[in-house]
Order: sequence, then C-alpha cells, then structure tokens
Amino acid sequence: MNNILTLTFAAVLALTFTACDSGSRPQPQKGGARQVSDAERVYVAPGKLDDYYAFLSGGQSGSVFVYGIPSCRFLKEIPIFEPRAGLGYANNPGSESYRRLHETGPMWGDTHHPVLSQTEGRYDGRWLWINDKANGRVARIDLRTFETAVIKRVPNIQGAHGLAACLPSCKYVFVNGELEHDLADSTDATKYHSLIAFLDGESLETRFEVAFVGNADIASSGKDGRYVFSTMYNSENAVTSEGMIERDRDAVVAIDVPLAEKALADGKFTRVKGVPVIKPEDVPGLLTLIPVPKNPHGCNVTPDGKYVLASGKLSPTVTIIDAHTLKVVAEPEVGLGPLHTTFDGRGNAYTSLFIDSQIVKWNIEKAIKGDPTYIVDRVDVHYNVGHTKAAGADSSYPSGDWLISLNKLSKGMYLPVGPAMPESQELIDISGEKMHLVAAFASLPEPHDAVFMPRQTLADKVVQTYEPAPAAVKLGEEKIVRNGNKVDVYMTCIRSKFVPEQFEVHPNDEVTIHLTNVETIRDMTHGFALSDHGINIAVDPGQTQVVSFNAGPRGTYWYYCTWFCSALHLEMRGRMLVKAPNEPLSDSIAPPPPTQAKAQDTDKKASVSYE
Amino acid sequence: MSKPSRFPRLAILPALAASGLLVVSLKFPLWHIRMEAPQYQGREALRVEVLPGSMRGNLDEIRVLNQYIGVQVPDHLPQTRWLPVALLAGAALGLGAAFLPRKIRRFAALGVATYLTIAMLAAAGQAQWQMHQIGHNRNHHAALAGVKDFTPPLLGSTKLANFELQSGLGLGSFFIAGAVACYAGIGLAKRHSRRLVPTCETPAEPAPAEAVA
Repeated sequence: MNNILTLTFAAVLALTFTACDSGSRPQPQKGGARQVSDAERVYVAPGKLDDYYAFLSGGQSGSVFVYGIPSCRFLKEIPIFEPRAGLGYANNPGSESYRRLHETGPMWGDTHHPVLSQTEGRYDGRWLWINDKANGRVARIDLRTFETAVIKRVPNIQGAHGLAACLPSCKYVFVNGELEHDLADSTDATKYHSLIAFLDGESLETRFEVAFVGNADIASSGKDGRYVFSTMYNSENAVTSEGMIERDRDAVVAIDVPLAEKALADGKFTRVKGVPVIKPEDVPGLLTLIPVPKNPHGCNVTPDGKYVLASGKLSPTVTIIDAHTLKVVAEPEVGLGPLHTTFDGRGNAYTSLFIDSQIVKWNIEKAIKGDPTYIVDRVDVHYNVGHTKAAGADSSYPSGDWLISLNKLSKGMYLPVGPAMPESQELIDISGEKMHLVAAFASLPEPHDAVFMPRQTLADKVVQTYEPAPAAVKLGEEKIVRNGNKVDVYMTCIRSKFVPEQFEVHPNDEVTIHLTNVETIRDMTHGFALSDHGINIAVDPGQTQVVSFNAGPRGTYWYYCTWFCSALHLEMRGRMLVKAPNEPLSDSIAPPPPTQAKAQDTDKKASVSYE
Repeated sequence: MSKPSRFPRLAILPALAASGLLVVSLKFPLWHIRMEAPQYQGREALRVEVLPGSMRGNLDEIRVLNQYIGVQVPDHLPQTRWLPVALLAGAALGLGAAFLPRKIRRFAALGVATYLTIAMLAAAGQAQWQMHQIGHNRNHHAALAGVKDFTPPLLGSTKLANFELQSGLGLGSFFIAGAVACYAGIGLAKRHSRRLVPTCETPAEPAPAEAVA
C-alpha cells in the first residue's frame, strides 16, 4: 500500500512538473483529487499490460520506438535504417540485416510516418510500414516478430516523405517523393518533377509512379479504394524557400487509383529506371488539384471516409474537402500553425497547432455548417507540437480515448541534460468533452508521427520463438568447414554453452559464424561478442544469425554471451584460437580436454590451505 | 432355451467398453507434473505428461534447467516400453473373457482386473523409484550449490528450489481405472442381472396390477 501511495505521489509530482512552464518552479496545483485520478489512469502496475502499443517513428535515429500506452513505458526499439550494435542489427557485413540495408543505400535513415496494415477498416496486426525520408526508402516490419522484414529503395524519388496505405485493401502503400528533380538526372530546375510511388504492400516493389510539378508532402488514403490524397506545396516549382511561398494557393492532390491502374494496363506510361511513370497530362482525370491556402501540411481523411482535411501550416485554417466530389466544403480557422489533424470517431477533429503549442478540438459538421461554436476545447502542449495522433484514428474505428502530442521542443520539462533537451511526447485523455493532459515522456530523437495498436490485435500474433530456418544448425550437428582461408563455423548456443567452445583458425582467415539459438522458450536471447573484433550479434530463440570477420593476428580471442541468460552466463564463452600459419588446425568440436583438471587441482589445494 | 447364451451378450458391452477405454488410454496422459516458478508462470509454467508409450512436454527446457542442479532426465521411461503392450494385452484378454462360459468368465474378468491393477501399481512403483533416483542420483559437481536431494511428488505438490511442483493423474489413468471397474463388474455381476436384458425367449411379463397396489 505504501508503494502505491509513493508511486501515486511520484506520478502527481511528475504531472505537476509537466504542467509548469519552463523555468518556473513547480507549484502545487488546485484540484488535487483530479490529479490523483490522472496518475491512476496512466499507472500500469508491474506485471500488468498496457492497453495499446504506440509505434513512434524514430526520426533521425532511423528506427521505430515502441511504447506502452497509457503507461508511456518504453518497450522496444526496432532498428531499420541504422545499425544497432547492441541489438546485433546490421553491424557486420556477414549478417543478412547488414546486406539488406547496405544494398538499398546508406547505413542511416530518417523515419517519419509509421503506417499500420488494415483489413476492413481495422488494424489487422500484420505489418507496419515506415519511410526513410533521407534516402528514398520504405521498410516493412513484421509484427509477429517486431523486426524489419523488407527494405526497398524506391526508384526515381528523393525525399520519401508522406506514406500511407491504399485503403481499404492495403494492396499498395504509396509514398511521396517530396524533393523534386529531373527524372533524366539533369540539374535543370525547369524539368523538376515530384513523384508519388505506389509500392506492392508486401514486397515493396514499385508498381508505378505518378509525376507532377510541385512537392508532395503528407499522404492519406480515401476509404473506398478510389482516391488517395496528398498535400502539395511549391506549385511555384521554386528552389528557394522564398520562392516556395510566393503564391497564395497550393493544393491537395487527389489521384484516381483505378484510373492509374487502367493507364498502366493501357501502356500510357514511360518507363524510367524500370518503373512505369505516368504523367497526368497523358491521363485526364488521373490527378486533381484542389486549391487550398499556400504550403499546406497535414493531410488526413476522416474515419468515415467523407472528408479529407488539409492543415494550413502558414494559414490558421483547416480546409475540409469532400473526399468523393473533391470540392472544398469549409475552411474553418483553428489557430496558428495547424500541422496535423486526427480524430476520435465521434465527429471531432484534433488539430496540432505548432505556433500556438496547442491541440485544438473542433467539430467537423459544425464547422461545415458554419456554426460558430465548432471549437470545442484547447489544451496547451509543451512545446511546438508537430504530429498528433489519436488511438485508431487512421482506421475506420477510432477508439476515442487517448491522443498523443509529439512535441518538437521540451525546454524545461525534464532535468537538464545539456544544451539539447530530451524529445518529448504528451498523452492526452480525449474520452470526455474536455481534453485532459495526463502524462509526458521523453524519447531519443526524434519521433515525427505515431500510431496506436490495441493490445488485443496482436495478442495471438506475436511469436514466442522463431521457427528454425532450413539453414539452422541443429544440436549435435555443429561443425567446422574450411575452404582455403575461409572458415565456416556452424555453432549452436543454449544455456549456458556455445558448441563448439573453441575453434582454430590461421591469422587473417575469413571467418563466418553461423549461430543458431536452440532454446525453446521465449525471452532466452543469447549474444555472441568476440573480443577485439568489434563483433556483437543477438540471436533469439530458434533464430540463426550469421557474422563474418577477419580472424586477425595470432592469439587467443574469447567470445562470450552478451545477453544475461543464466546463472552460468559469465561462463558461457569460448575461444577462437588463431594459430601460427605453420601450425596444424583441429576441426574437432568436442569440448577441450586438458587444462581444467590442473586448474581444479589448484583449486583444491587452495581450498585446503584456506581451511 | 439356452440361458447361458444370454450372458455373453450382457458381458460383451462392458467388456467392449473396457477394452475400448484401454486402447484409448494409450493416447492420453497417465500422469502429469506442472512446474511453476517466478520466471515460469501461468501459461509459461513447465509441464511434463507421461503417456503409456511416451513422455512429452517442456522436456528440453527442463533438461536445460536440470544441468544446473545435476539432474539427469531420462530420454525414455522404461514403463513406456512395456505398458502399452500390457494394456493392449489386458484389452484382448478382457474381451476374450466375455465369451467364456459364465463361471469361468467371472474368474477370468476378475483376473484381468487384477492383472491391470498390478500392472498399473508396478508402473507407479517404478515411477516412484525413478522420482527418487532423479532427485538423489545427481551429479553433485553441478553448478548450483545448496540444492538438497529431493523426490518430486508422484501425487501432490512440493517446492523445489524456486519451483512449485504439482503432479497428478491424467485422463488416461481414469480410463484405465474405468476399464478395471468394468472388468471387476463383469466378474462380480450376480446371475439375476440378466433381467436387465430381456430377450424374445423370456419376454418381461407385466406385473399384476394387484402386486403394484
């Protein structure tokens, strides 16, 4: 009971801090009972599970962060576009994850928009897609394992920015090539185009692209399989920031997907770098430009599929467009710097206001009817909110309980840790008429967007262990295979032993370890680190990982388990013996016989002398 | 009218049922043990089931854990080699006994029931010995110090290191017990029980009304 009181008190304190302005001392707040209630709402006792997974893009970390909601507990980082030595991801040329990433481009990425797969308007728990804005790539994460399954470079585009799945089928994901360039690779700015690329949802192969003048920004899909939408700025086709804001109006782009498929079937395209590129001038009706105030940003289709909302960014408005007729039906003012809009499924929209540092709740139908009471509520966030997302808002069935505000600056929200402060997110209860900010949590830099997945959706989908692959090494079938200076060691590990516990090579041999974790229960991950070689991999139960390296000079090099696994974790290690070039090598995988006996004797003598 | 010919028909049904239960029991666990620890709770608790012909469950994981306390879990239990044969033999003998003349049949059925009881007790006794061996015939140079010799419970529960062990009989044992009961029933059935199965030759006569009154 004391613990609960302590935790509650700590949570109240945390909330008090989050409610304070930067630089001011935390002051006791009125309404103490309400504050306790907030703390209880986000308190998830140890051993209890959160209601939602929240997938936050990692931004320049090149990954996806997984948090539990409402506790805001960090659960996992899914590395995608950047090596993570600690997780053994893409950190050595022998590994599949390294090869896959390396062959698609740089070993770094900038993830922005996580997108969940859907079936019949609901998240189905299969996949999560994410873009790499910096290097024109898209990745698919398999939610059975929470690991990257596919990474593909999208041809012809630069700045893979807005990303969305074509609903309702998720047959395609489409990604906006925001940064314009000449498809023929000249530097002539008058020939610059942007592209929207349509990729196969599973393989991520690019099926076709649509080219146009202007910069495609944020993406969203209609719900009925016809139009997909994107906000578009820089209709001026300028190359300076001043030039990009000259005109008063830019547009929302609507692409008729069935018409694009027909054009593809009819051969109305040009093939560029192997990909069919369709130009709107060749296919009337393919692309519709819907005028909106200049340089819009967020593009969000309402859960019922009736409207697409373009957030004004430089204009204090959100433009409401009929998603079927493509006509503007209203343009209500919501506040300064509207960036993104999300939904609660009860007819309300929530728009992030970057300049005002607020989330504004407003009623869509009231705004369309011109009812002046369309603004329902405002809540301050800290500070400069970018994306905001309510639970389930990208599906047809938002749950209307939680909303996350992804803020760009945290200022004095947390203990100072240098000139750069932690990135900050805030959790807002939107279940009532009034919004209520209940928690804040820090993260690595820098989440752009987020999406919530109900826990139940993944309850029976997340695998406990990997099914052993055909290339898996079986217990008792470990071996060493030599081919010139190439040495393949087929190794197993299980608490608390590597087999073999030693192998022999010559200096500078090219060594490849094929390591299978033959554990049969979940959470029993083993690592393999090799001293003085910069090698660390992680192998989950049932999984096989491959690592390659140069053996280096003569000597003894220990390898050891890096994931604390058992009472004999420290003893779970083995030796790579790099012998002189003229020394014969053993291929035996049997445990080394000799020296331990001597050591034991020494132990006995020592213990006797102590007695 | 040959009265003895009706008895086999009466005895065949329970004999058939009993033999069927014995055959079916081959596919069901006779015994199970559940091992729960802080790291192995709820659905992740470790479990071993012993069937007449095999052993299954989280054996790999238990072997991994046992290395720390020097316990050797056998790959096969010796019972699993002879028990299926013993049960099938009991099923065949029990079924055959139903066709014997009444006087012999009763003794034969009781004999089969006794035979099965002894077989199961022998298997259980062997299991108890194995339990003792598992917990006492350990490698005392194993990693973890301080674990005392132990005997996992054949029936019931106990605590071993960080594990709560709970064992009990499985459905297969109850099937076999049912079969034994059927054979015993055949053996102990009184002659007048034939009234339960009236035949054409001896139609059941309605009771006189006054008798009811």
